[in-house]
Amino acid sequence: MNVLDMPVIDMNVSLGHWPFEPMRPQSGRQLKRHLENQGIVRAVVSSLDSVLYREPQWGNEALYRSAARYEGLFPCCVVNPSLPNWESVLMAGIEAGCRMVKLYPNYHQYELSHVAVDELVSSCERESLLIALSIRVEDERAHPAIMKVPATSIEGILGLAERWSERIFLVLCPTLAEVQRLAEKPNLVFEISHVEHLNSLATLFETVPSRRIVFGSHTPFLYTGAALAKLSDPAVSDADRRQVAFEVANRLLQMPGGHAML
Amino acid sequence: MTIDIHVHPLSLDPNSLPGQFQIFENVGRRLGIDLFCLMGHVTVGGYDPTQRDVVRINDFTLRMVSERPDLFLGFCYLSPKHSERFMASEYRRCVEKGPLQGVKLWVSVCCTDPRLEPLMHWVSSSGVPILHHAWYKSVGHAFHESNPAQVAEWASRYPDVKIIMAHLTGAGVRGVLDVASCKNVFVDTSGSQPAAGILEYAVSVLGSERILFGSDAGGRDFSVQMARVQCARIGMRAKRRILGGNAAKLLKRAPFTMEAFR
Repeated sequence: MNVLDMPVIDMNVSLGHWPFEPMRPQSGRQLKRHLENQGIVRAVVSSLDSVLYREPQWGNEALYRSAARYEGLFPCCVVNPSLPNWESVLMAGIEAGCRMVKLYPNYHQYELSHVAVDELVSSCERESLLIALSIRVEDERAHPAIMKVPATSIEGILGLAERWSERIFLVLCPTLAEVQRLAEKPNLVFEISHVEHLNSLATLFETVPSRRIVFGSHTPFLYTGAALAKLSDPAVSDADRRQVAFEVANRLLQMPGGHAML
Repeated sequence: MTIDIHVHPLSLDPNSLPGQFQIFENVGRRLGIDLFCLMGHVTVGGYDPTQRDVVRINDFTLRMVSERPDLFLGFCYLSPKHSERFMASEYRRCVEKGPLQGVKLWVSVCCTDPRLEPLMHWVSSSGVPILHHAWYKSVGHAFHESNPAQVAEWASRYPDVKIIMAHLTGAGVRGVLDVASCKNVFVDTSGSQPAAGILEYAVSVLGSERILFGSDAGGRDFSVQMARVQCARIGMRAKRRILGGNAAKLLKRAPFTMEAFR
């Protein structure tokens, strides 16, 4: 257990390589141990390689062979719906046990208004898969000059949420200002890794209730413990803390048994 | 002793003072931070503050430090764009005759600007440090924002002046390397998200003796910024230095024993 004395599900973990710096942990085993040391019992893990590989499936397959072997690490497939093979990538992810699909519209260079995105959402709806939309991987200000990638369009996310108003989407790595812009859509749920303000969580609750917020560390880019520190905000009630730490994530991933499973 | 070398008042409203004291007290108690070093509420005057803005900002810092010397240290905010006469009077009022421990410079001019020269002679005589904002931004610099290479050039001209370059994460690998040979340059840990790895890198290049814990709160979360030091893969001795030991040495005029507080 962690310092919070409650189970924590991390909804935003990546494993793999990044061309500009060595990433740690580097293997499923190391990641499992790292998260356990932090008191994180379950994590949804996607392939970092899939962000930049020409074929995201190459990274997904490596992930399924590594992280997915460890109890508590749930694989998440990265899909690029602008590629003609997205359906087979999605099916392979389902076969590998994925409960979540991660999209990187900014890195894969498509708009969320792309017709294939709606087809993907439709398929995910049929398969009860959660869709996560990544806004960024790194702070845009720190991007190397050779690879400047603007954040995923907020208007694009609002449009998608509008078209699929009965469908929940998880937004990864939004800042507080971006959450404030997106909060009007009740079908958007937010991860906390990039929300930072004096009393981060309490401030976030002024915009969205805890039932729309999940814990995410954005490991390995950010310190896992830094996101956990947000959960320890004394201005937050234990009930809200539990929601963010694991209850909302449990519901999103449709894990029967909820807390008992942890 | 833990010292946060880089914080800002949360407001310049005198009525907010009791509330601000309470917030800093609570944070200090919860995270074990003994002293907060105020850099002034610099955003009030924007990138290019008037003389009146500067006086107002410093008045408030002086008031916080005077009312709660057990909790706060402070730096005098200056803009080298103002006349030498005005800067001299403000420096004399706040640092030479007042309780402030150093000078804070932001983005009104670049650090290599010749208008900094008189100030450098004053701080050299007084033996107080300057904290200067710096950042490498791939999205374009704000106003006359300095980058670490410019800090290195400036620092090499004044080897007897201790310079704290703010924002380690903003400096990045290149920025750390830029200032490595300038033994009079220290770096604070603040800036952006709690990116994993950069503090470890800075310790390996600069040594833990040249790094100071700084949160840059209120725009940031104290607990998150503290976690980036606590989570770093560096030794306990290095962490102690970063969290306060180095600042205590640098700020020689501060009452750094608990006895002095009683």
